[in-house]
Amino acid sequence: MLMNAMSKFLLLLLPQLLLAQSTNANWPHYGGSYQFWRHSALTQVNRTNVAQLTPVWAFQTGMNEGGLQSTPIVIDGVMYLSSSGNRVFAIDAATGREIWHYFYQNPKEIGVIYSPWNRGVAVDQGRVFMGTLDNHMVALDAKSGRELWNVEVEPLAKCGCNITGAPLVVKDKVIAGVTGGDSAHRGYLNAFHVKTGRLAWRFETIPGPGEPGHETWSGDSWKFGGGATWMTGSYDPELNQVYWAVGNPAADFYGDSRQGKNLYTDSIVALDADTGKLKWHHQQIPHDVWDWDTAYEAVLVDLPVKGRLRKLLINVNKGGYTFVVDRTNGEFITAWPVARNINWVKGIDESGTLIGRNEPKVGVPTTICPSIGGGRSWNHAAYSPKTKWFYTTAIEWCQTVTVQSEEPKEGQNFFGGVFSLKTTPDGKPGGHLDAYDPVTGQKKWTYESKYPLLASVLATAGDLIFTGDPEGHFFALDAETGKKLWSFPTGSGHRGSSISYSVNGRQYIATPSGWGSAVAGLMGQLWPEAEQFRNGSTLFVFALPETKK
Amino acid sequence: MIWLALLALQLPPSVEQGSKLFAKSCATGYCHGAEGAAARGPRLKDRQFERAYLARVTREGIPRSAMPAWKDRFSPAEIEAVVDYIVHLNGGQLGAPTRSEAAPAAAPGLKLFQTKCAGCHRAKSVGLAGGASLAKGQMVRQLTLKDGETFPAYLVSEGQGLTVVLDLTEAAPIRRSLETAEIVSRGPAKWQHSAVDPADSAQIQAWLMLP
Repeated sequence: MLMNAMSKFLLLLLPQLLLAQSTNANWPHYGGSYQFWRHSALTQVNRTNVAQLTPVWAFQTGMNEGGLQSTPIVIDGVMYLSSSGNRVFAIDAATGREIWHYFYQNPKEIGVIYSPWNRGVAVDQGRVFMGTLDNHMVALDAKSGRELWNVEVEPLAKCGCNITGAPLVVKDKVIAGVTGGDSAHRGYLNAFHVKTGRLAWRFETIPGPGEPGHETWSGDSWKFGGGATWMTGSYDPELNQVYWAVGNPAADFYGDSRQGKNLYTDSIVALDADTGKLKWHHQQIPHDVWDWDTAYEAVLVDLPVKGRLRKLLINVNKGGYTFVVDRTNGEFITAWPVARNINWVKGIDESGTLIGRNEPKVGVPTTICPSIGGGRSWNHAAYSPKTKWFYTTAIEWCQTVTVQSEEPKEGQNFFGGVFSLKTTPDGKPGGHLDAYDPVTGQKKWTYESKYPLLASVLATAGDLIFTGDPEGHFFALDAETGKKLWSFPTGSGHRGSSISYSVNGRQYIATPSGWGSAVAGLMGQLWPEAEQFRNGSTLFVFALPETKK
Repeated sequence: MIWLALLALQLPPSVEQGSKLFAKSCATGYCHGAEGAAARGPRLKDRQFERAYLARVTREGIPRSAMPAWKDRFSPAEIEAVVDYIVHLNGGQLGAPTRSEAAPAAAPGLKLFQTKCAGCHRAKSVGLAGGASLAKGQMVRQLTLKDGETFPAYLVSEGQGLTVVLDLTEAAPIRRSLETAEIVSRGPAKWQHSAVDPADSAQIQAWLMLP
């Protein structure tokens, strides 16, 4: 009897789970859905009326340093927003009224380069979860903001790492990655029990002695080999697999002391959601010496490949290529470039092997394109099930790298080189946002930008694409043509991720505005005026004007 | 004339040393960029900084920011060399080093305390807020909650219907805020502090004794 009721309930629930790849009234996860589409099914705001979009409220966090880089979460009319310095706010999503706030007390000395920003919280089961600048995880009561538990992941001084990415809740566990890819540190991904904060599992991104893959590190290099997990992963409920992207090996540029492929750096790993055990991995860049983080989002889509429907995973790599693999087993499907200026490799063959690696030698200044800032930065792409296109930004810029030999010091910076930004061979550095067929890599349209675009993309079923630029414009493009339909000056550059949600039948578009971050800082080397771009930390919320009753 | 020009091109030894230290420590990655050209950290080239300010920030870092204190990583002479180099990047007059404040000696005990004790304890404003003092005889209790969960805990605070404890089930303590009504019993706990290396203990005590 009970089993019957259970299976009926599950059968009812299943289509809901499968359809939940686009968001609706809520924006429940960092990536919108577990599949990380950053696509809203809402259509009230669409290409016919987007020109009437108007601001309805704004919210200031009061923490301008590092800008506002987060993604708000919205559940049942309440927005949860985090800012630099680990502030969390619960806000009435229709009016902008603050319900509660929580200011985490960070220690005076942080001193790691991955600060002071925070990129988001996770909200589930009446709890709000956040990682902190001093490498703690905290859980708050979603109703009151009261701290429920607080646990140190590893002492900051020891690991030189912390948590700036948003956690991901899967069933009774909250999963959070750490920074530290540019520190002498061995990376990991942790899952904590939602209720108690106790560690449920830990996946070490660098295999230890006796584990498969350990032989891909020479000597003791595995102990301090980086492999950060600093962004947020995705989840396939049907396969019960968590997908997480593992960043670059350390030292970033100096690879002589870590001979080998350096698994699982620059890899996508698929883990059993319950145990954290590795199901498969796909390494994009064996023995990376360019700091090409495979750290960004893993977008899960089901699309036909050569006439057969495949479960795919799309990941844009910092080196300027998009990799597509089969997410059931990690099989390489294809790779295609998003940036035009790429010279660290000549190409990628049909098996996913890099062709013609251009590795800088110690002490020899070498021009590498793109720059360390990336052929794309971490700001996320979007996928629309309507067009079946993938929307991502890309950056055109180069750098001179000089590799330095370096010895690791536990918990301290471990880069192995210096770099200076350079313009592109055609003298036209800048950014663009493009629409692609994700299976063929065929470009559908391009929106050109004077400066790199460093904000995430939002797609909506209203045939719209939203993003913002470094000068502070938040704008909407036609999802089918790339034509600009609307723009609003928010006063500070965009580095966060916009979302859409609805409350009482009214659709809202929310965007963080607030310039900052490491890559934003780099821009001053190529565009001196960018050094004067104004910081900020404000969330702007837009909607169509209310019709008079 | 040629000789004079060559002499002018040659960097003073401290600037030379500072440039090497800067390239390895300050210019790397997302920090201040090659030759201080700016990255995540602010641009240092072609700006007018006061030497004393540069020396203080290099030594002490900037609180709650990515800028670390270098006094534990560089010797006082090395800090002076880095400052000389930054002054040089600004085309400034070097002059004699003006180190008037004595740089405090690095305390290995502090790092040990931070990495081994600070998760539970608090001393000299370092460590877990509300954490246990280092005095012996701290009471650890076995708490049992209404839902049957039971764990060893150190009591941090109690009041207004809430009890804040350190859950000591695992090596890393978890600070938990419980509704006092959730706690059904607080019996004696079998929990024991993990062993402390005598050498570490001596260094930590030396740090505690520092003024």
